[in-house]
Amino acid sequence: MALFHPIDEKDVTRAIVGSFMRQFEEYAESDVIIVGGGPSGLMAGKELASKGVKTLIVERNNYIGGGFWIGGYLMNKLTVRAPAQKVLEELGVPYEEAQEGLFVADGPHACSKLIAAACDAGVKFANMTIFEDVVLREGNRVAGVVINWTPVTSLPREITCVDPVAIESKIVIDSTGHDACVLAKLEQRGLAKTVGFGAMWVERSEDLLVEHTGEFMPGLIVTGMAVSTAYGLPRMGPTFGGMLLSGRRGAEVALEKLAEMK
Amino acid sequence: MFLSEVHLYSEPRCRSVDFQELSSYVKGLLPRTRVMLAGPIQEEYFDGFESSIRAGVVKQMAVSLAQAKVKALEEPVPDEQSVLAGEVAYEQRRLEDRKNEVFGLIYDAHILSAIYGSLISAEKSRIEHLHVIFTNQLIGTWDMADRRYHARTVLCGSPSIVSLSGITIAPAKDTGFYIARRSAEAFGFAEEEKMEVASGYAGDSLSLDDPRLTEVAKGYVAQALAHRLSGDAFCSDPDCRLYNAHRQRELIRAQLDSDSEYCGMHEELFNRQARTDGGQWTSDCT
Repeated sequence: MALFHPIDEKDVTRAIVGSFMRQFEEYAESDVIIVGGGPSGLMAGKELASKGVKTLIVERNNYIGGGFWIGGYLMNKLTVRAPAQKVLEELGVPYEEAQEGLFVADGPHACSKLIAAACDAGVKFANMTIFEDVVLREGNRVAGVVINWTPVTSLPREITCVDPVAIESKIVIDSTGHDACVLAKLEQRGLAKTVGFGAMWVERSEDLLVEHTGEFMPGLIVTGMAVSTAYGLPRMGPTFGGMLLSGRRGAEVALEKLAEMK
Repeated sequence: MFLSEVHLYSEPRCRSVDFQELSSYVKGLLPRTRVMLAGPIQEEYFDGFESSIRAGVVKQMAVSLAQAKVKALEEPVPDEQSVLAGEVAYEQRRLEDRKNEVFGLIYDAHILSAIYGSLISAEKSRIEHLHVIFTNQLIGTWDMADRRYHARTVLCGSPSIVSLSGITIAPAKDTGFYIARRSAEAFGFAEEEKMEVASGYAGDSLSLDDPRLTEVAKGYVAQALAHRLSGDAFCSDPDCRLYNAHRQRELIRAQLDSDSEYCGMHEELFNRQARTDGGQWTSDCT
């Protein structure tokens, strides 16, 4: 006797296509699109979706989580400074206090819990999807993103010439790390100017990064390491506490902006 | 000249410094001089405006402060530097909220001094009046010789600025600290881990929550006083509080470990000022 229920291949295909297309059609118009599924993007997404905000995270890789899986020297231990351990507590991630105010957790545990928390809150993902451009509206307000499949970018143009598609949202969040892809595209078009990495006190830059998280231009919020690029804060190594709190701050700003739009 | 008034402007964000004690110290050093202690210089200035225009004044100052930010150590801050809305918003939050302790940016000290100087009335800007502003922000000055900014502990001028964070970072820690930090950086360590590794090699150095900061700050106020009285803030004697320390060890020696506070020449500089009653005296301590 067969263990699994008999299903034809075509049924499997229809189930995948149907489910994907329903979600894709629904999220062609979201409240918030977050570009980048690293710790700050995931944190922002989790916070927003838990408040009932229709949130889509666009991630160019197949895997979600960015650099949150591992710490320095490929060692899979993460450190956060107080008060960011409270986020680990909220996520149910065990941690140890290495010294006063410094906490260590397992990277895979922390990252998978954060992804799960975002999913549980209702965030949807478009992974293997690369950001190509922004959708602009009157007054150069950012109102969506132009995306394509990631593999398209790695194939020769004569073999694959696939036009992208655009999806809309009330707010876009750039959580793409140091590359600040959304900001870079706006800068390329002459619509924004970033400072690049600057001359500041590195020991204090984590605080500065959270403090500078917010609306960069109408419709566009910047979180995580992209904030460093935007405002000329120092290029830091991974500071996961800063990423988590920056994501949370970004979500707070997005909620304020969404409320103003009503 | 006779220094008739010294105005000290405290930095409430730096809770380890006892500004009342600092003020008493200056009174003890210059007993014939009126020493006044106030809160952050901009607060009194803002309070002078009606609420309807106050917000605009704060915003304008926030823009000026954002324009004073050093964005690249290898480039001098240009005139009328363009700023982002987020940078202005950051300055605005700091100006309006004493509890906002976030800092770490570097500002061009001369531009900053000019901004603060514009808040002081002409009457209070006379040469007999010295204004010393404490800040927890970092300040730097552009060096034409090696074409880069250098972090500073104090800028002596009108007004003078003492950077409390500068005291902890501008004079260098032991070399091992920087080697250890760079090594940890090469391994991709997180910021917290880099500091944890490097701090073991820092030697005796000051931090912003160090209880010794009040005592050390006295020496930097004295440098601002000496600059106004004699034209020279610094002394070549490593045991004098006016010694221009470039390393934390030198700073600790000059400000905390030395048997006497000032060298003979600078002790006399302050003693003369203490004896004079104004107008008759000129310094020969240059």
